[in-house]
Amino acid sequence: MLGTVEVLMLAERYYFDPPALRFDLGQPYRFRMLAADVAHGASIQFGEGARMIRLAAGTETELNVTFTRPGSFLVYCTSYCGPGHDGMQARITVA
Amino acid sequence: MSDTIISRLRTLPPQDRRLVIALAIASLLALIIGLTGGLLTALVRAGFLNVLPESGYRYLSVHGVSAFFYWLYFAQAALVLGFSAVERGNGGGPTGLLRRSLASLGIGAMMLGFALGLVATVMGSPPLYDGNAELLADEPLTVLVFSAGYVLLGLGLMLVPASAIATLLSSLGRDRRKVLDALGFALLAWSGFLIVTGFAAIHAFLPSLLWSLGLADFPVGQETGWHILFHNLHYLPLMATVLVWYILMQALTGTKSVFGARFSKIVFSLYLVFVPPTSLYHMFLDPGLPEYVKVAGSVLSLFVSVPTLTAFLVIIASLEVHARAAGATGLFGWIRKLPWEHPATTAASVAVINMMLGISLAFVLIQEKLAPLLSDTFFVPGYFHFFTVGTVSLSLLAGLSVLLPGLTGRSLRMPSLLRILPWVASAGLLVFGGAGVIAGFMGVPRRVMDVSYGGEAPAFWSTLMALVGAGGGVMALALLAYAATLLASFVGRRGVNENQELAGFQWSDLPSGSTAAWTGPLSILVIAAAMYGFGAIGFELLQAVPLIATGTAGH
Ligand code: HEM
Repeated sequence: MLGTVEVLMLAERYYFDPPALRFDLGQPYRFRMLAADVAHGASIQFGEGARMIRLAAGTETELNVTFTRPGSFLVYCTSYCGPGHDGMQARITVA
Repeated sequence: MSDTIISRLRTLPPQDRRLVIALAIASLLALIIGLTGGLLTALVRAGFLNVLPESGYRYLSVHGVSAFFYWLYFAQAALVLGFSAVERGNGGGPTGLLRRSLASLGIGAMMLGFALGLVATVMGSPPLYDGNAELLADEPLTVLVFSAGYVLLGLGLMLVPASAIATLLSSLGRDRRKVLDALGFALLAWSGFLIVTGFAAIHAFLPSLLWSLGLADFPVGQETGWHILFHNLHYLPLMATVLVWYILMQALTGTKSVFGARFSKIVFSLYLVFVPPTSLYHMFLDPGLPEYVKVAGSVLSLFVSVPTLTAFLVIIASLEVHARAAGATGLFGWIRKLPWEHPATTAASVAVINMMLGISLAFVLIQEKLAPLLSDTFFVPGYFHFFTVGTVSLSLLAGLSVLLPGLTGRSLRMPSLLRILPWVASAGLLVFGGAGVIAGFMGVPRRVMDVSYGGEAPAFWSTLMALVGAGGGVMALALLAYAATLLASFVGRRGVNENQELAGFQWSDLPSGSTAAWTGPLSILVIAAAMYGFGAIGFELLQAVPLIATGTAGH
């Protein structure tokens, strides 16, 4: 297993970059996330519940994450960012 | 006739009546517009109404602005002004407002503010109810109209209570009473809190107004101003609710607190002590908030329910003791003795039950550890409608239903319908709130109109939103009917049904002695058990999220 792997993620009206990510089970990752224009959310949905994440505009947010179950998970903006807010989503696949 | 709140209402000068009636009508119109917005939003989220998400956000903007701001503040202004004018005559002396011109000016500002707020919701991008300037940076005109609306509301919220304060203080003096009694004190504290909120609204929106006029830099600090305002907006309506219950207790049964006026005054003052330091939990998810602040915030938040629960205990115990003195028997037999002929009794009692549910759910949200699971999800609107609709709106409607017949000289229309509607609204609320809270635990976001995410989200999300739509429909229709019935009571034949007004009895002269009252403490036990249950479910779910995550830290 590698050490902590850095993952860069950009949130901008109304998309995430990259829109799809693949991760390894049990591998520690450090998410470095940036909301480029206005405040956004980058929350991850897991079936039973979700991890809500807020991103302030222009401020890098770091989160250390280790996925403990395989699956395909929705990433979605949870901070109202304008009329196109509903469509702002990405996907994480853990295997 | 004895000197009571109701009898004094009849003696108000016509100019004062007109002002309070204008505020009451404005409040009911704001409620009707707000409810319509809420209903449409719920239908869009449920997938029952097929429109673009942008229209959904517009409905949500109308809903938040009209229901959360103008309904709640027009109604509070009407109640504070009306009951202060009456309280002036407590113990002899004339009733009526002082500094009436301040009140008139304030009411004018609030009405203009309301009109501008509504215009702003349809003119550009939907501003929601917070009009975040960051999101509207390309639309200074929308920001101008929106911010001007809230600044005018803030101005009104400073002027109207100023008249109430002048009125209350004028009842003190050498030849009159030396100190205000509990009710006068409550109205004074309420007015003070309204003024602070008015100031907070101006503080939050004046910078964006000046920016939109080209007179200042972009309001980068708007969020902090909004937090301060928003925190006040959370608790002021709760304080107002408790004060309305206190007024109703006296107006409908003649009961005064068995713990004495001084204790009631201390309880009312507790809001001013507990509300400011509890604002932290709104920021739990904000990147960069140090850990110790989060822990302190969780602990402090526990205290915010203290004044509400204490006042609740005082009121329940006082009613129970007096009802027992009037012959009630059995553990809950005293409840039957309450003045059920008056619709306000049902509305306020149902409000108490909803508050118990709301407080139990709120306890879950203020757990710092659960914030990453629930903040920004539908848990939030799911639980807070138990307060905004189930507790506060029903209590304010109860307050208006006592105030209005005295002011208009007309009985309430269809009292038997008014006695049923709070139950219907609460049944809808149970479905709306129950499905909403479960949806929140599952991760369904708030402020998203279409939660299917193009088929990528769990199908169960849409089922839960359909339940939210169905429950929301029922509660909206019930409250719309309530508001329309009160509005209809402004017109028609004059003449007041005594039964409706005074509920036929006065408990003020009963000896209350050392009768035991158990219902209050029992209710607190029930609330504690429910808090524990909801909290446990939250922590279970936290375990189920297959992710180890640490440190959402900003740089
Ligand atoms: C009785 C009928 C009502 C219905 C059907 C209803 C429905 C809704 C719905 C569906 C939402 C949207 C949640 C979201 O998308 O995030 C909402 C939000 C909200 N409601 Fe209500 N509501 C009702 C009454 C009220 C009342 C009477 C108040 C206040 C006194 C109120 C205050 C709010 C607030 C403050 C929000 C949050 C707005 C935002 O996030 O921008 N609601 N309501």
